[in-house]
Amino acid sequence: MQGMNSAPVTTGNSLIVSTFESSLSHQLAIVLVVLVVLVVAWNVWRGVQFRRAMAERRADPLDEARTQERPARLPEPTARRILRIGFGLIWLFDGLLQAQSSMPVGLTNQVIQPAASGSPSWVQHLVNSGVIIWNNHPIQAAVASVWIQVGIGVWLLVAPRGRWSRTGAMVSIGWGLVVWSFGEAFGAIFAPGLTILFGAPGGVVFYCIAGGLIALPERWWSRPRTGRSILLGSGIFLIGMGILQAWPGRGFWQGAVRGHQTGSLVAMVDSMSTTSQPSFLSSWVSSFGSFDASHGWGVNLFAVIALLGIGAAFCTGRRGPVRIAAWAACILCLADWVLIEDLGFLGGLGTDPNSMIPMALIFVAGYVALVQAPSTAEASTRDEETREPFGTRLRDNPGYALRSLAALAAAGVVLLGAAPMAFASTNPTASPIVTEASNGAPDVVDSPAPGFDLTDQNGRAVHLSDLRGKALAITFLDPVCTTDCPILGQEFRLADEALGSAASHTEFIAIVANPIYRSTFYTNAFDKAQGLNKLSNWLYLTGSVAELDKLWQVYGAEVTVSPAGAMVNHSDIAYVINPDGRIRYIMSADPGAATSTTKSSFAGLLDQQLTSVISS
Amino acid sequence: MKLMKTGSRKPMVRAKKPRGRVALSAALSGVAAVATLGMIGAPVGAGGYDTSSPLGAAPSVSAPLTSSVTTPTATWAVVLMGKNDGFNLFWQLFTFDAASGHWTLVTPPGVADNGGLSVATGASGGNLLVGFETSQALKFSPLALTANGGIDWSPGGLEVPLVAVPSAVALGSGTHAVALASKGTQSEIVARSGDLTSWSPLVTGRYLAGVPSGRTCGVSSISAVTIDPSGIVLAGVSCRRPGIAGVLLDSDAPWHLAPIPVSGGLLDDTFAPIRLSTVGTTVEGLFAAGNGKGTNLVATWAPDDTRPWLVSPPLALGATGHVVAAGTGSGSTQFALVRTGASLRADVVDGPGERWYALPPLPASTATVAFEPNGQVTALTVDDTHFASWQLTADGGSWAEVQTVKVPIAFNSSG
Repeated sequence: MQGMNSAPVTTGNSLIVSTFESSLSHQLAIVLVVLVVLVVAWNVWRGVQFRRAMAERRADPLDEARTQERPARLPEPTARRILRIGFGLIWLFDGLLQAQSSMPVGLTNQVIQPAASGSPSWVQHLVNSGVIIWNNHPIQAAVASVWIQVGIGVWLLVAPRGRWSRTGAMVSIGWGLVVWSFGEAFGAIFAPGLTILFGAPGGVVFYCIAGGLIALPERWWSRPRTGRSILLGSGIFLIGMGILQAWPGRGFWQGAVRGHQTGSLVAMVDSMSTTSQPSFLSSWVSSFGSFDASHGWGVNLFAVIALLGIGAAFCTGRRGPVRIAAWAACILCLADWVLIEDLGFLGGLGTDPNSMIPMALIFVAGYVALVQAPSTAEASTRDEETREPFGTRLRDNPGYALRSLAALAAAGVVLLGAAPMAFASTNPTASPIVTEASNGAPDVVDSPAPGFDLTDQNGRAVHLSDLRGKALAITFLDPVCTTDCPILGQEFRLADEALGSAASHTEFIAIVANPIYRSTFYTNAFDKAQGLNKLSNWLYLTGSVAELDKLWQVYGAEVTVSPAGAMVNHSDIAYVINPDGRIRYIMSADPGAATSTTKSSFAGLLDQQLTSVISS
Repeated sequence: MKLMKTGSRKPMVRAKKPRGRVALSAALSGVAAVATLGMIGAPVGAGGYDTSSPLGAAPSVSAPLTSSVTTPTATWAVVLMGKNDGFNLFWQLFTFDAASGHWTLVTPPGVADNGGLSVATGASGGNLLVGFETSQALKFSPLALTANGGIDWSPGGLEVPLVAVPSAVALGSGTHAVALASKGTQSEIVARSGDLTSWSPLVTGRYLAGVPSGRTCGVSSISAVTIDPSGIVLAGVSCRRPGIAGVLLDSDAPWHLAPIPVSGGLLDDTFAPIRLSTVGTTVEGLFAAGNGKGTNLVATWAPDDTRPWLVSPPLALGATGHVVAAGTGSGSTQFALVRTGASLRADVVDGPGERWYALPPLPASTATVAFEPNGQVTALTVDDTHFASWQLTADGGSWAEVQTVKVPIAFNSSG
């Protein structure tokens, strides 16, 4: 079949990449325009504020003195700031990673689905539901991921305190949970081979934990108990991971066995070293892999002792052991991040720096919260500050007003990504761009459609002229085909079902593309097998070999009979004809991979063209 | 059009009955059931079956599509060729014309045949009905009929898939034809009722399992179909009751078991048909008989409808041997190619009363053997796109290649 075996859409598909970049650029322009408007509005507002303040001072000179006597606000707790700025930068970085050109096509089939492959079927089912939405709308999904994550990052950075900051933290938790479930298959915690060294339980879990900590009321950071709680939780986690790491039979106690079998760690490191990356980094990783191959038992013993020891020290909650443990944890996280996780974001499809950096930030924040816990008096002062009315703070604190505006803008950026994607995800029809990426854009023409006098599946004579006044979608189908034609039939059926009220102005037509098996018996058998017999605006036309051959030639169907058990060869082609009988679009109908996405996308593209000829 | 010859033949049983006759049918079935119960415990003998033995499991046998059949004027062979990757294996039909002395590729065009071909010869050697098994997205079975040795083909079809067995289609005289169709989990014999695209239900597997003889046999499936020279349809069925080679026919009595004698060690075996066909005036069948310990092949013949069925001695396949090709030769010859591990041998039985014998070691890549109309045995080898025929040397101890055919397979045309 001509057009068969077309390669699936690749990550570097020029149409997808250019459309993705164009969408990002357009939305970036919107963001910049909105920022400019906000800056102008801010300056205008400040100007009004200044003139009002000057007028009030002239009326009451004592007011200035009282204003100057207002006590300075307490600074943000250091631990909280570490989390907020650290994770704000990480979210921002992750958002920028999502802007890589390979994301729209490559993220699902090269990252998400492989990550879920070892998980139970219910996890894979859940992940697949998200994959389908992404694959159906790859551009919207990829763009949404960029803006949501950039927006969250900026939000955390520009809103240091109060409701804005805590709301931003809550949004980061929400999006983090979405990523953890649909994007990371719950960090593969339900799959075999779980280990903290590879990133379990998923880097984004720590993003959610950080979000939860940032969302805590500020007064909680005034208590040493908060720091101890963070460290206790971290300690229990590390001890659990240490026990898991020590568990026999999971492949971590061996390096290379007799030079052939490799342990789990060596296998992972070897695969990471082949990722596209700077050569020095690749050599570090592969050197570590060689070291582990020779000393696998010792490496794992070190890891187990480190995890258990650091975890136990964190659990004590005492400053001395915690300080040492925090330093050790940071050094080990850094080492793991470089030598095993291989920085996590390289290779063109990296989505984040994996788990070690976020985990280290949590540990450091816990330590700082423990050692820098302020006094009870400060805690009550923080309570008073938070009780100040929002409007008063806006009016009296220009810095707060500016940060509120910036946080609002960041929220707008998140919405810029989330809203279109949420709307697109409710549309079960895949984006036409998927079909255009694999088959090319339809040819736009304007020529009279060659006429025909054929017989439909019910034995009735059908002439092209009888169909004036309706938009027509015409293709060529072999009723005894084993591959493309049944798929094309399904795509036409999907297109008809999705047209809605416009279906009454449309006729879907197939013309037989087999000179031997062409009678109405075969067209009816095909229709019944594909559910097309239920459509009221479906015609499967046939005729004599001479009539059909003439049509095959003028419509470019190129039907040829092949020997030795092959099916009849013909072009996968479709025409859209307007109600005046003129061909307006010619499109390749190669079903390609024939997934639910590609079928839906073709149907959507066909509907788009039919709707345009009906309305024009 | 009458499907049966006029005379004393009763009308064929239809799968559906008018409502008013349901009660009558139920009463008759009840009488038949009582009669059957009365026969339980009757001694095994000519025409009787030991219905006291419990039902077992039908032997697990795959009936190979690779085959050859010989008529007085032509030989037909069905072989699988191509590459075993993706959908690049295609079934090919060859014919050997006695007049020309050559093999010719005559695969019917217009349909991808990756799913398989089932063939049946007619009374005339040049007649052949071919059924296309379904594959991939093709959900019904096209047919093709030739009357001139494969030069021209007339298209036909069933709205449902054929059962994927070598004896899924059968030709009788004139336009008489039947096919074994698959309807969900059940199989059904359909009979041609007009042109080659008009077929009517004849009998279902469920019905056959419910008639007295079907219950006696413990019918589990219909696996083969043929039409005897007098136009009677015979259904080869797998029996779960041991000691019964299941061929049901609807002639003097409604759907009853053909009197195929089973004796000796085979009485404990359950039987499943591998193929059933009519060659000239003789119905020939090949059965697999097994009891869980090993499988035997048994050839059967019904020379005509006045003489009893005859069976061959059993051919032991052992625990791991399985049939990869089977068919008929000239006269009453039947053969089977048996693979046991890496070895392949061809076993032949020349007719009733004869013993099985093995042909000399076969050439490499032998797909099947075939018998020319004059009785000459030929080994047919296939290798990717090369088909070759080999004949025994004068000393009868080895094979010599006599003809090759390059087959223009359209690789990757099926996806």
